[in-house]
Amino acid sequence: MTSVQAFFLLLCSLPFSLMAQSVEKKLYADIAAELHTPSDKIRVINLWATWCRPCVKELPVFEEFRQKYEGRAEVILVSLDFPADQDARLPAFVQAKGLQSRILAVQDTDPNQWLNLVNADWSGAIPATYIVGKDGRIVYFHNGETTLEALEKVVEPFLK
Amino acid sequence: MKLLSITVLFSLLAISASAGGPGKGYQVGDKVTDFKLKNIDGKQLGLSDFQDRKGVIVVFTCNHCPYAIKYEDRLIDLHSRYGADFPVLAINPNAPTVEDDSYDQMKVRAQEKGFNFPYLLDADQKIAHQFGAERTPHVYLLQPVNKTWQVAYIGAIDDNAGDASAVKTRYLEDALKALKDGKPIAQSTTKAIGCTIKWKQ
Repeated sequence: MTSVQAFFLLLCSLPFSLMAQSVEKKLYADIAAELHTPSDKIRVINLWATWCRPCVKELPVFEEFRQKYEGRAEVILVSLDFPADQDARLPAFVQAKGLQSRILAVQDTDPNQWLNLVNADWSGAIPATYIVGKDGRIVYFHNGETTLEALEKVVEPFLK
Repeated sequence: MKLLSITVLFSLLAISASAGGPGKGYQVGDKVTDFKLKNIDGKQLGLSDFQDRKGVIVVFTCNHCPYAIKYEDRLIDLHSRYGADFPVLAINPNAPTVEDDSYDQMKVRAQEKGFNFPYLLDADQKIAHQFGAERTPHVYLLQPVNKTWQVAYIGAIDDNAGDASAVKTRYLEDALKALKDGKPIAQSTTKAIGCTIKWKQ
């Protein structure tokens, strides 16, 4: 790539990189270690994928929640997109939707090795949402679609 | 060691507030009640049609879910290699709210992919509820025991949905090979990712 091409590429990508989040690829064990470290914010984690229709449909709920609770709660969108899709399809989707929440992508390939780290009762169906308190404990786990009201109901008591 | 300590931490911390989960539906070792469902050829088909076999691979699957689609070729392959002893019996449990999963579209998809196994519609979702199926794909390997059917294995097909060529552990195939050889199944329950079954509202 010439420096001129690189400059134009940078120029074109700049407004987008300011707008949407980049994708952090991680092993779930590392995500778990981070989540279970105490924090000054309550954390709402949504397990989703670009290929999952109900997940994509409910993403605005998490974006709205993030905006409303900024500074008090953090939203982390954990993508289960196939590893082959994590370098192109997923970042393109995040840019296109202008997602502002933090985006992690699970790199593990064998769900049987890590799903129990999330929750022993989780079947592996997505979407799934869970909430981790400031002390690093899971206070809520829900398999299926959720709503802003449902999230608020769980989170509010922890913010008082 | 690090992984182990995290696992222990999680087991201690995890609180389940979810609906469903274990306790509902069949577990390994449970007796299975027979059923009859409409196949894509219009005929009713059920477990009693496979009484002479060594087992049946019941797979809750569908047309639209990318995880289910990733496994279509692998199911065709399993059925072509083991179908004589362990036929695949695919069941679509999704409510017709997902248009791609309608009975007519099931016929289209089976034709396109050349399904070599039956593909049944669980129109009232009764059988998915009976099994406790939660996602597509969701596998139940059944074996005949004293003229009834018993659950021998529940879970994943293998350890890499995204890339068939990178699979290291074939959980389902290992389980049915064990059944075939009359040996105990090393891992009779595994977990997998999939799409939620689209229940009727």
